[in-house]
Amino acid sequence: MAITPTRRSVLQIAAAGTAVAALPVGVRELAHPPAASAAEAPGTESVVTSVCEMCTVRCPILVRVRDGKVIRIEGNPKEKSTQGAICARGNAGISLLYDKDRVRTPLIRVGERGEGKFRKASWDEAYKYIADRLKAIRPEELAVGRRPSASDAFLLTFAKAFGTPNIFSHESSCPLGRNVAMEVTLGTSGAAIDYSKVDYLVSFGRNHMETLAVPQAQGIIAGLARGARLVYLDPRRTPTSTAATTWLQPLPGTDLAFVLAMLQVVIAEKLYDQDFVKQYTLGFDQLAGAVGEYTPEWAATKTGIPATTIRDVARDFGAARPRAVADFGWFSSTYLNDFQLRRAILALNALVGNLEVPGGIFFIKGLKGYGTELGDWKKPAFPAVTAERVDGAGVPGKYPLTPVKDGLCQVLPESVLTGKPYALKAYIAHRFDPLAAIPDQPRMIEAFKKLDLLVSVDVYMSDTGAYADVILPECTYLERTDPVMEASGLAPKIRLRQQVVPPQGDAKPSWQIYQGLAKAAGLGAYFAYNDIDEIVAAQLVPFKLSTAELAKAGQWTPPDAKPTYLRKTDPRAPVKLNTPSGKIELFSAELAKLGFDPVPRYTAPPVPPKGTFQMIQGKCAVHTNSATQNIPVLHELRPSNELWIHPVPAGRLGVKDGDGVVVRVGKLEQHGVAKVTADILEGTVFTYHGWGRTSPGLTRVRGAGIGLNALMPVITDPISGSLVMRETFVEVVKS
Amino acid sequence: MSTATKTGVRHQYALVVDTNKCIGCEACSVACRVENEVPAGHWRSRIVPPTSSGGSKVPMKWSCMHCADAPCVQVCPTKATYRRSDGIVVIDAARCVGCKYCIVACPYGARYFDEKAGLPDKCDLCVDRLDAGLAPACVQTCVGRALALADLADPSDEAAARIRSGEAKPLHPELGTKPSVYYVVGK
Ligand code: SF4
Ligand code: SF4
Ligand code: SF4
Ligand code: SF4
Repeated sequence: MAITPTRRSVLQIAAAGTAVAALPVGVRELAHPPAASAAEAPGTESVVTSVCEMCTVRCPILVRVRDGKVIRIEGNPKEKSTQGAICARGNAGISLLYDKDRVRTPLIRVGERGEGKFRKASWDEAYKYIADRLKAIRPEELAVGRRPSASDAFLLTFAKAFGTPNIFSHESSCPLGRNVAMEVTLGTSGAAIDYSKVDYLVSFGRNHMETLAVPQAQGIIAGLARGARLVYLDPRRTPTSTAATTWLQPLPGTDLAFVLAMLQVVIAEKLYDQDFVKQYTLGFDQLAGAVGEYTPEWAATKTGIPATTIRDVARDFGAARPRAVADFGWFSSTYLNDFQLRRAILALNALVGNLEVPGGIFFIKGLKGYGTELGDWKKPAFPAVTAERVDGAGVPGKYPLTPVKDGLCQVLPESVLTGKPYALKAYIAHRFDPLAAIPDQPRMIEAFKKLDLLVSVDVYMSDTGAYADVILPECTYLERTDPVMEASGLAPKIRLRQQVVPPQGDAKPSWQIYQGLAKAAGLGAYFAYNDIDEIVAAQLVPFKLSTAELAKAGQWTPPDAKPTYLRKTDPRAPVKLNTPSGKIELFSAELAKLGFDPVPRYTAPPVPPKGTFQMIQGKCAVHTNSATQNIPVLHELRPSNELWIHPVPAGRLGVKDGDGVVVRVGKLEQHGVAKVTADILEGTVFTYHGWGRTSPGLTRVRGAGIGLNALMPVITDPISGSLVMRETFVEVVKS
Repeated sequence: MSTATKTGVRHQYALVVDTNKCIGCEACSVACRVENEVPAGHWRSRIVPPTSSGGSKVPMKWSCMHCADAPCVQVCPTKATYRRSDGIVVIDAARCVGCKYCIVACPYGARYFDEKAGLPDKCDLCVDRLDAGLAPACVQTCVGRALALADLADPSDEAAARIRSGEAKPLHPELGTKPSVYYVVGK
């Protein structure tokens, strides 16, 4: 054969022995594999099961390793919901792993905050530096922030052992509003949509094909291929609008009007499941009373979508019950009316009785429900916390509905700069970049400058990292084993992320980082384990499962657990919800008591002042939030963002495609490049999130594109505590 | 035009791209890039995104078309580029002199020049994987399950049936190169 690439001998191991079913690389076999030529000497390729961490979806993967290096990552074909697929980011894990921009040793700041000047330090020195400063503050003056991950337990244990209540996640900048709406309405945010079996899906801006959770996208694509319909509302053309059977362009922030009108039609025309409503819901009459006025004709004036279209969608939705689903979405840090939008969407689902039937909405059937939970490592009781949280999460009179595991990550500057209710003095940001993710960047910077201690635990020197006193290099998911994670759906499931290769440089996993820090801070008793393997083994004890068994397939479901829909065979089967009434709360007494609308009602989004644009942002399929823009291969695919602007206003402003533009809010501005396109509504401009980065450590992406969080003020939803990021209006001028 | 391998199994490979299922996510682009150790700045396969202003209305996976009448094969002075009997157009690195005629001749813009190796390169349908009994990297990773390797020599192959029925069509057949990549367009 003429071709002699280096991988040849390696790949042939896969076929050596000819038994295709026994391929060590368990990728999809060909229907008729060509016979292998004479087997060459076996190489050293091995395959390790693990779990992707290029986004929070956590798809199961197979990692191919040769001579101690990762050469390729593939999806684990044993997982039915992904069929061996992984997205561009998942495929690019290797590009992150070997990126020269990664931080490889602990760093201690020598320059001014933000300059990005550091000196290398040993881990012991870095631990001591942090511990010394922590000793000087009261426990509650420490805040920790993170993007929730499988190694959360270590940072959380450290924070609780230290005794602070101020634990934050990034959720208030993403799905918090939707989560709280689900908790109020369904008693849990642990519910999901049975996408592949849905016949009629309405998505309110949930851009599945571009925000890209592989299992969900595949489910929808499979549904469409068998004739399911997808009605998609978005002011912008996206890959999801291309895939959809119907694409509607509502005026931004008016989705709630559309849903209320759907509710009105479904109720007025009796398209709802009356038995279901009676047995499983609370407050139908109040809901019906509230939505009576919201006719499609009314909604047409708000949304800009014709009344006949809205009515048709409502009728088709009702007719497709119970396999009709209105998607309750994910990112919900949008408008002040977003919380009631999610409530209205959940009500719409309740009306068609899609709960716990195939093609509907189901509760996650976790290990807990199955009667066994993952074990844990032994630790002493945490000290009692007496101080109140700075953000009022879970506090009556403040944000009682906000889960305390998440909190309001946007309040840090308020606390630090005003001392109300007291000033936070130290902040540990774990793979979380508030400067890149949270509005009012200037104020966050001011707060960072005032802190006694800022620690960034990350793989890169993030924008926040550049302001930190200490950067602790965490290793990537390919270099560490994490505690066993739950990945339950219709049936309970666990997955194991296991270390594939040794860490680059001196990077360490969380389980070591926080153990080391705890020892230096005199809290070592909370981390009395030898290594992660010991923790994993302890977790598996209740299942009588060995780590080796779990590692072999990469995931495991209790053998007697089957995918379960509680109402599949008996539509009257009891389903006990975790709400005060035990039912789906169309009417919420809890909300009424707090002074909020107990049934959804319309509030209009603010109208852009003359000469300004509605500004929306979103994700592209090859990047995750603000975490991946600097990864070489992904950076090459999409190195920057552009400002999408419609030809009509662009013409008025004299802006041509590719021209430089300034995007302005008051005195704040960002510079970028215009993409003049009819793929966006006239009064709206759009840009992808994650650019406008400032850290000198992000050598490729620094300075590229537009960062909206540098322009937006902090607006907080009083009900959920979620950020509101689409009520800011921008001026655009040619630069 | 198929061939018999050592075991007598004949293959005639083609690629079917179902644009109805493609979401333009570029997982295929990155899988290809990593699998084939394609140097920075180059791609064997990319997605041409859809636009509202002319162009394609759906995302189009774009890589070598493995033409039966391939201009790249015709212009190659050393016969380094040739078509295997199973339909795959490959480059024999040992014969290639790096003249770049093939890059200019390819009407699909499928080739790039690997400066480090001093050689042209392009999609080879992941021949190594095929020879090892594995699906091409792009097919294996495809998020939408939009890609399928077809074997036209196999009468029972479902993807090949979509080609035979005319449901899957080549891109720019007017160029007369007889491509082996077929697209299903329109719902
Ligand atoms: S969706 Fe993509 S990035 Fe996220 S876990 Fe799956 S493969 Fe990884
Ligand atoms: S697409 Fe171009 S490179 Fe590929 S076979 Fe045809 S002419 Fe040659
Ligand atoms: S078949 Fe292989 S070389 Fe060709 S585009 Fe797909 S992954 Fe790349
Ligand atoms: S991986 Fe599949 S769905 Fe994604 S762009 Fe490539 S062909 Fe399309």
